[in-house]
Amino acid sequence: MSSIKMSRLNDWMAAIMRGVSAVNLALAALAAAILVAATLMVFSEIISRLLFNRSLMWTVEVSGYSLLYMTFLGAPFLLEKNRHVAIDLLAGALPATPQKILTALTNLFGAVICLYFAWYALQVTIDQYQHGIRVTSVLRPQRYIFTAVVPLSMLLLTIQFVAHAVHSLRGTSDAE
Amino acid sequence: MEWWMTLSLILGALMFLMIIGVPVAFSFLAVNVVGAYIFMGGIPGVRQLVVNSTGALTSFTLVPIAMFMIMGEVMFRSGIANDLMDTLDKWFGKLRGRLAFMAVGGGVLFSTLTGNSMGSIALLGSSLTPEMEKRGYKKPMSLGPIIGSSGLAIMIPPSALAVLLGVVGELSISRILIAIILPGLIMAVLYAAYIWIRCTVQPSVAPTFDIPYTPWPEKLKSGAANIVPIGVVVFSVVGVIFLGWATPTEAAASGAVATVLLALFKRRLTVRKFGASMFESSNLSVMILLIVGTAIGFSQLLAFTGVTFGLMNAVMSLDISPRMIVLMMILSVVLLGMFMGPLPIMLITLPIYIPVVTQLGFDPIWFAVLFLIAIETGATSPPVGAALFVMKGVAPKGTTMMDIYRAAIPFLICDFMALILVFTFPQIVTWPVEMMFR
Amino acid sequence: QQQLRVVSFIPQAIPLATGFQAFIDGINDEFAGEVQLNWIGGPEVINPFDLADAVRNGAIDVALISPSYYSGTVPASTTNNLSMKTYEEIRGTGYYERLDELHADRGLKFWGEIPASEIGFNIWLGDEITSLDDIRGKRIRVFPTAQPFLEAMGANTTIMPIGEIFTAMERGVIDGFVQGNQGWAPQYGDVVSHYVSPQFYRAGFNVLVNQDAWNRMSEDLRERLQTYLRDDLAYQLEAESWDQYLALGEQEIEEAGYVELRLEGDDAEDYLNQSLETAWDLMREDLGEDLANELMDMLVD
Ligand code: NA
Ligand code: NA
Repeated sequence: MSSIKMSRLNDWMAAIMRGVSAVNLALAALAAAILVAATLMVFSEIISRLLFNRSLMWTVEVSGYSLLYMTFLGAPFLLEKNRHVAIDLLAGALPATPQKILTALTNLFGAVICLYFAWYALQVTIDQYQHGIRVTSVLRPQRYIFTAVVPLSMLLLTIQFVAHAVHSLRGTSDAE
Repeated sequence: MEWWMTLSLILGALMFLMIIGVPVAFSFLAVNVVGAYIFMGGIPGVRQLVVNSTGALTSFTLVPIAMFMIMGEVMFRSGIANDLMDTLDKWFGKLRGRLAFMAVGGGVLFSTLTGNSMGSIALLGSSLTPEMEKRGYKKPMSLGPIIGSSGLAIMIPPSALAVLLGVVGELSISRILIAIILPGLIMAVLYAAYIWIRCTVQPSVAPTFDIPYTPWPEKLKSGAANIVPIGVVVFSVVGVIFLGWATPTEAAASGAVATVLLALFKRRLTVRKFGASMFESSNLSVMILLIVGTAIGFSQLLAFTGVTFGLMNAVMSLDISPRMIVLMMILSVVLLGMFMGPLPIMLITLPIYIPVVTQLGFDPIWFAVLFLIAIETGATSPPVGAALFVMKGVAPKGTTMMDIYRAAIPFLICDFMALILVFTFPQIVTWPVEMMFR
Repeated sequence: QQQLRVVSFIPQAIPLATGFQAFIDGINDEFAGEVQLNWIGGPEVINPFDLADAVRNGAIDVALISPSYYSGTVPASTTNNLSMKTYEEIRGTGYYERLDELHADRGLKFWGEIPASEIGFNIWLGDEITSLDDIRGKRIRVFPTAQPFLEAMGANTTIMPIGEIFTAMERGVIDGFVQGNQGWAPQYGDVVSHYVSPQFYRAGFNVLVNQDAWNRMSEDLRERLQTYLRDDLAYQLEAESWDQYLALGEQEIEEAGYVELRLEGDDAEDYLNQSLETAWDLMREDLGEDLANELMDMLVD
């Protein structure tokens, strides 16, 4: 491959990663907004019950859903910043080159697992949508609304794992 | 396949992935996916795993974890934590080991506002160690008290790990939150006692120095401005549970709102700081919850394959006394803590330990408290207790890991004494719980 | 020999599970050498609210589940509780054949029921209750079927797992709950003080099978499995499995000293009618008038 083609490919890659990065950040901000909303919601339940003797029991259910959304929306950003808890004893003890190869391999492994999970999560989402399956609860929302966030998150995680692997092989640091 | 072969295979794979550096949450996920494929009938098993993992996270019992994060972040970012240190500074007169006692006092105060120990250690480390160096404190009296007392964050409510323990072990979260308070305070007293003894026996570790005199009116004013409002926040978490006004989830929300209001009231919260606190609380929660979600899938996998049942029967038929079994479980947690973080340890061992403890007829709340002390001990024990590395990060230049290890050990011994006390006198746990719940 | 993996919606170790064990033993005895049910566990294996999905997916082969726990998957399942009739009375109406079709639409095989018609439900409260008016404004934990009835009485309802009821009562998060009368009183101490009778609805636990697992068996075997459960074993289970359990429950309630608010005569009849009407009204919304009325004709006189 000519070096011009190669550098054009690099530009393309960089542009795509900037886009993905913006999406990750936006979703992480959304996750934080959901956390604030959930906190206020639960707080309003206490106030309503103690002061007005009226219970907003739906808040219990909705705060649970918030947690699910928050977790999956926020996960790709954390991976981009290399902030998921990991035990880096072994990698830290290796010389530079084996360390790079190990990091690339673990990241590729992560990508494979996330992609595989994303695929079946998508199928489950579609199945729940088609059958109109609902959550067994007071509010009884459609279940696919909640499952759908899983394939989205897992796909972004896959992309991020691949990017980490590529960065690691090229020897550039991937944590800004 | 025999249950123990399945267990070795599943645990072996999990450990392998973690050790080669796959992030903990994704190690769990990988083992779950492959395990579901093998043991739960192929693709249908994987699809079920998707359903299970969304179900596991859609639980209002996990909500407090996220809200407790808000309390800690707001406290540190708004400078409330610094105000607390200032007040302690005014209140502690001229006494030997003054700065070391301040570390313990600060650890206790911070622990009432934060649910994880990393923030405490960073703040105490960066605010106290330079002063300690300047005053000629030796490393055991400068680094040690900070490492020791930072762990109190998980022993005094709010405590994210205590909530998690309740969720994973299916125990009453309110009871655990109440039960940990007295043991936490006992640990603080043990730390203070050790500091006092060491300073008396070996005065050179903590030279006394003159401090400017603070008149009483100023002490009272500072206390009223900084310590009393903390009482309101503590009440908004623990008090509302005591009084039966709120569930643990609601208490977490009221604690978060109270902390934000306090910061606003003190004019310490800019829009930027508020945004950063919320963003960071959310990130920390996501980090924890993703591990929790995948680990719940892991425990369902263990139950599905019959491992939990097999292991439980095996332990029950061991020819040693039940108390010995409990002791071995607790020690295993401390040992694991030397190599792994609190979260993975809790999530791997609890689904196996809690059923055994219940089956043996022990009070699971008592066990939960022992478990938390063991977790706290492990987090500050060499070689890789996470708190020690944070300490290294904020310690003065030239501090070696060996200095930190040596400084930590006396406080680990205090932790062990607390373990032995609670193990020998379960009343330390059961009495306050009985008092509060009827 | 067909090996089928069974998961229940309750733990294996609680008193209610004796009826489930009788079902497992009954099938394994009758079809020895042909079919083997392996009961691998309860909620620790799969969240009860995800159990029907697990059967649909094929992660497990058989679920033993309370009908309302999977109303999100098969909305008509709930109707199984909405009756005061015995198994024998319902069996003659063709209701179970109709359920069969409704489950098939959602990708599930409805094998039959573990009936427990003698078990019904009461409202349990932490404070004194002197009339039904006292329920207005109270926070009551229900299972999904009972929600419209309690809402109609003016209660604020919530749904939570059985295991969380005690803590919620103790902390005053809920004021009461709807439940059968068995197996919990000794552990509940004085968080409960009063209850309302007579019991409303009936209990019955549905046996769901994964369609592929079901179709793997020969037509003859399927026919015999279904007939045996519906026309033989179910009658035995209803007659024999719950006697001890019910007696134990009554004894426990007596020993706990709970005070009964017993509705009599017309009051009792109105109460029971309302419990059914409110629930069936919701069913008409969920299932459509035609289907709801068709099923109601089978279950309610
Ligand atoms: Na400690
Ligand atoms: Na704390």
